[in-house]
Amino acid sequence: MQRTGLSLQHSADEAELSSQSRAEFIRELVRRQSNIPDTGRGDGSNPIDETSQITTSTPKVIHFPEYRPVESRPTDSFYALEEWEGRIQEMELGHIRGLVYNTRGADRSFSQDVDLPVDLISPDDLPYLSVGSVFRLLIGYNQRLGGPRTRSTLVYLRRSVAPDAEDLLLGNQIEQFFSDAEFGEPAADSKPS
Amino acid sequence: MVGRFNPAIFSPGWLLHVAAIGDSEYNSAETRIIHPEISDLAIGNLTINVTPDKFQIMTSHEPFVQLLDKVLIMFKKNLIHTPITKVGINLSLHFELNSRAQQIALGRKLAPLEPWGAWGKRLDAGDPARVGGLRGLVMEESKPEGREWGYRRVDIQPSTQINPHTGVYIGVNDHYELGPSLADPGASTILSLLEDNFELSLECSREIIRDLMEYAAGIMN
Repeated sequence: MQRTGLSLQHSADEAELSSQSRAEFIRELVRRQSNIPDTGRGDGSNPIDETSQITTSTPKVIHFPEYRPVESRPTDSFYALEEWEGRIQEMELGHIRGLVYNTRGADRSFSQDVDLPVDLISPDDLPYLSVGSVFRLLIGYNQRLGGPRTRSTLVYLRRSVAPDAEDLLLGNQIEQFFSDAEFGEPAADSKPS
Repeated sequence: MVGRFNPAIFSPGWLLHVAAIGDSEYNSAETRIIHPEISDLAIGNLTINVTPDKFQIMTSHEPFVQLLDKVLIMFKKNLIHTPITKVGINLSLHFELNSRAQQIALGRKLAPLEPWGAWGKRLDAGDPARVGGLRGLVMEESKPEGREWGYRRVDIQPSTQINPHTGVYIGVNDHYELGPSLADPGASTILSLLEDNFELSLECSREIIRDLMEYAAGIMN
């Protein structure tokens, strides 16, 4: 990645300088900043004499922000060989079950059942884990930055797609079932009023 | 996305607040700069760059649908009145061929030397160190099927990220924009276009890249 940084220091009486002196002054400062050897002005005259510096009385420093081109930061990358999307239909201890279809050009009407360990899900996605949640299942290669490439599987929960009403109802029923007295404290909203 | 944005809004804290990112992503966030004129963030495997006229979000980590989800959470749920007029869905890839000769052969197929006359002949120097040729080519599909506006551009050039003598870069820029009749003061129309076309666009881009890679691989085999 290339970076360009530049800061200029100019004199308070800079405005009084002739345009030629100003050009030479700025050119010298830029040359010093970038450590580029001065090869002349291009007009056949000699480079600026180091002894003929413009003296500064009350220096005013202008810091230019560092320029950085927009680019993707190098990070670990994941390259998917296959990708499926589906909804969670059942949740068990440490496992989820769902119906998925292939998103990569295959026939979307053909769906398959999958049973997946919860530890494939990123900790950031766990709060969104519920029956009806839409997820992506990916099989591919994980390329660690400066490290080896390994075969990997991951599950991603889609936060922008809400579970549908039927799935939410089923999820609530399951939650209700597990919060009954037989399994622990009754859910707050299940107490008789 | 092209429109009118307020870069200072886009901070890791705000992204966490609107649930566009999670706790671990927030903790890994690197804020390069947040300023009224530019916001530049690196969050996990994502890079977000916002200027007053442009919003960019990038990743090299699939699933790419995570980008769509984050954009919808940010703009559809929280910034729906942001004026956005254009959106591009870009997919790029670097791949390596077996040899320099194969890379040159691909360049010659895509950009033959004959039309370049005497100068073209000089590009085909016997000395491998002096061989010249294609440095970049952009092909455009104007107003792709089903769209009144926009284009799909494919850019191919030697890769600068992997070996420049054997690497190839392909980038697909699928550009959507609102025509005058669809002018929308907010983001809802362009976000609907994005939502409806995101997967289709990536599928099409993958197909273009796959075809070019297969063609390149078959040239010298």
